[in-house]
Amino acid sequence: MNPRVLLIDDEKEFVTTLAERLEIREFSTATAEDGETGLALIRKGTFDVVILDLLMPGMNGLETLKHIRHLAPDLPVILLTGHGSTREGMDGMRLGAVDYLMKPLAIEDLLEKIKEALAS
Amino acid sequence: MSTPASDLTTTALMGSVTAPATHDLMNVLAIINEHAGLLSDLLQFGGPEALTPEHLEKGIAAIATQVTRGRTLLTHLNRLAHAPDPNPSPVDVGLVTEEIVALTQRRFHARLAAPASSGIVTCDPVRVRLLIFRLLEAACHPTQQEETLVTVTSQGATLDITLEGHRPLEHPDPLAEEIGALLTSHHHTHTLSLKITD
Repeated sequence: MNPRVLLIDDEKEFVTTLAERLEIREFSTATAEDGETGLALIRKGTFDVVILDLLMPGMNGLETLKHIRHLAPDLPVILLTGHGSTREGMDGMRLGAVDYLMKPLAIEDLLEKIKEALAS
Repeated sequence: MSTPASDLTTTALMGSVTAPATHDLMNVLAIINEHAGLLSDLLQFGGPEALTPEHLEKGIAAIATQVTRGRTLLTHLNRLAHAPDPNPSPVDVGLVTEEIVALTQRRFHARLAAPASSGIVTCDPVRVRLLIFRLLEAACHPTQQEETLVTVTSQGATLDITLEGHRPLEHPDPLAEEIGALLTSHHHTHTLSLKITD
């Protein structure tokens, strides 16, 4: 079965295009544009890894991460940040994210992080 | 005109406004990057017929949209960067409001309900920007789930900036008095009135 990736980011163009690129590489994907929708998808389905943006309106990335840890403690979460610093990414790792990446992404870096997350 | 804004005020303005704006610019680049990457992927992995004219048109249109978005953000950022210039030109507070709303959109989820009226006001360009920023911060929805609507209208010699927000103002902002503006508040609606320069 193809690895199932859930992408949560409020930038629709970004998240749908990245999902398309992952599907070309034989991942199965689902997308959500806010934390609440992402959590609803996690409650309903099974995912192997979550890619989660940190800065979103409504429930932000760190809040969403806390809920994910409660709902699915073993589900690996990779954070995305558009910030120019690594502080928010480090905060996320303290809350249980496996890693973080800065936007714009190099697809090779993301694939490597997903591979590591799936192996963990 | 009053004395120029202090270094502390200028730094507060620059830090507060450029943080959400540069985050937005990262997203602009990220979207361009993904669309360009998708076109490249389709060429590389999809076989000779995978990259259709529709794919190309969609990718090009998306990139063009993001270039426009990025250019708008950079135009506003450039105008902001010149706010602390010595001997500033008169301030069009309508344009300044549009600038601050656009640069902080990601943080406050505010938007102009209609194009802002133009209104030249004799006031410190840093203080007036910081005041608009603080009003947006005070009025916006705590988790940005609902928009704050901003209108800028001129009536005679007065320019009114009205924020239809989600919270009452807890205390009046002293910056309003410093720039010679009148700040009034009724429930969640806050209005800043400035005298237009002849």
